[in-house]
Amino acid sequence: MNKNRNSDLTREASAAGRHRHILVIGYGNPLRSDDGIGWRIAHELRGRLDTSRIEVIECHQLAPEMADKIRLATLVIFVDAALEGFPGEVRHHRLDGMNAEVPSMAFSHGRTPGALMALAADLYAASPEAHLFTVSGSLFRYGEALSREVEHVFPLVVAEIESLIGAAESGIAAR
Amino acid sequence: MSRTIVIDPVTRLEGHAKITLQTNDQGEVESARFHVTQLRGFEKFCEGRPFYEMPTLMSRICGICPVSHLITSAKACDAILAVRIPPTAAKLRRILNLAQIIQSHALSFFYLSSPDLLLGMDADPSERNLFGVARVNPELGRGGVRLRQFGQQVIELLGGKRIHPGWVIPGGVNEPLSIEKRDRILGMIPEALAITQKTLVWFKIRFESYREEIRTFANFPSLFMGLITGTDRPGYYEGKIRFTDATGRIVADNLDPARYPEYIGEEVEPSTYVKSPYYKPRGYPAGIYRVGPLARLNLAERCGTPLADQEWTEFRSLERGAVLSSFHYHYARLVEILHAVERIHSLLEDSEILGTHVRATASINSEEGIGASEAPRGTLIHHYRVNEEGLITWANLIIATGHNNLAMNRGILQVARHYVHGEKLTDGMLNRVEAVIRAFDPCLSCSTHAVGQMAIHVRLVNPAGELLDETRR
Repeated sequence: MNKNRNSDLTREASAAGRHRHILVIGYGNPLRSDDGIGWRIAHELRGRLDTSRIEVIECHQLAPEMADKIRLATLVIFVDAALEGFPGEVRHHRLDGMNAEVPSMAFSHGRTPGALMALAADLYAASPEAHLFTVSGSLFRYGEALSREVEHVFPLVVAEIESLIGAAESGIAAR
Repeated sequence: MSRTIVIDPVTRLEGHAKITLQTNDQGEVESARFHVTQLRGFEKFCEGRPFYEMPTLMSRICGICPVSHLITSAKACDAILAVRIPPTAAKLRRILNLAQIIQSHALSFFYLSSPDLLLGMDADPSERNLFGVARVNPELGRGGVRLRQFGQQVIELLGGKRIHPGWVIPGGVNEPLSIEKRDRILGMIPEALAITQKTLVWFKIRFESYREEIRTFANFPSLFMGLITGTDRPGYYEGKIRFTDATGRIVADNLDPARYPEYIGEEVEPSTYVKSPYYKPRGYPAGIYRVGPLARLNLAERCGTPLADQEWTEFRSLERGAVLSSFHYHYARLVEILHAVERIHSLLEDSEILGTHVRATASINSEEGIGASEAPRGTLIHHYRVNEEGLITWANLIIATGHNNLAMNRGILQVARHYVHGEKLTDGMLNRVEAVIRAFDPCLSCSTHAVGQMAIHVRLVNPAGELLDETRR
């Protein structure tokens, strides 16, 4: 963590956080079957949430520029597919950007939510609450359809994220 | 004992490549090769497709410079239609092209090369990445993020999305610019200018620390090639081809890009999927030339915008003739970002920019079309032939990175001979061999790219092909 935090940036991030915003980033390749679950869930949430208060991003991969969006967020939710685990298994991790372990392959083809949170912490002294939802897939071949197992848990993950966002919004409103 | 050193993959490049160094019995490097190990095949699998699909198809060549392919392909299609596109459409395409140059140069300078430039070529590889930059100089890191965002946002505002926009079409663009979007871009200009100027100041102070790299990073006489518009400015969107030599003398000028086969030859080497273009009158490989930011600033006599012109004057004062060290590609990139931001500003303030006539329509009027523009890495040429139904029968693409292939190979050899000695290999040695390639910023036609620390696999092999030693990082 950078010791020389820019106090202006910190103030800006906190001020912005009072009235906005929740950031949902669903990533993966929607043309590779289950790899697109993150993208699909983000797309579904875009249609269900108030996007004037909640920013939803569907993308193929995480990019350093997203650190700039994270600095203005109070809650960040990443959604991705996973290779490990049994098909349809949903995992929910709480991320800690301040202490995120930056993998040695960081910012290559395999950048991670933890690495992105760490970058936001170093660049902007921003460490919003962050969560990662992963859904284990079984089908990663060319195609837009999800496997049966992943399709089955799709609405459950959407509901869980909506619930998390609802709780966060209640907290923001109470403040 | 002679041996072969293989660096595979080369890190912090856009795409996949490896480097092979051959040493002699004294441990001195005798030869060096840069191998691009991926095959894309776009020239073949577009055959049979309608020509009007080409801009969208060709933009898929790359996720970093899709706009360059989109625009150049559309220009080749304009030639098939034999139309002159409306002036507003040409100006809008210019803005899009400049935004592409900004975002790509920002990626190259800040994400890929600033770890070497800030932390040093010998820094711990685990720190020598964007995270290391963010920790040591967060302001530099933030500047890189904001500049890249600026370029991407301009592309998104004009083209509808940051990557693979489909807004540029044969005959023009498919939607005029709104006042709101124009004003949003104008609002971002001051910050982009300030970041670029500050970065230039920071970078120029560091030259003293990199004297050895400046002296040895592909620093040799060669020709330079690029598009010139008017008589003296880089032609990012259009222009005529100019070649100059190491003294700065014009070797050939006002060449029609559409007649490129008359002066550009292409050799194929068995060790790489990248072709090796050369200047035909000088033969192969004596016709070696360089393209891209360094070449453009060497070819021109000014940039054409006030702040960039000041920087250009300073840049050219580095040497009496052309600036020959490829280390200065980094410097040239920053000058070009400055120019691009200024030029976008002036184009947006042009009274024609909000015009609504943005597309010319026509049927097929020519069975052949050639488009050329300056991509971030150099001159990009798309050449198509169609049948009477407008289906592609043949395509040839000369990619900017390809022009530099001979120079990159020669640059690796120069750096390797200077830094790689004896039996013991250090990370700093190998990083410099990679860094000379990074200076050229090759885009190896990959839709994803490496921006940080990747594994390096080094194999020491004797002339008989037997593995002597092997390390992984």
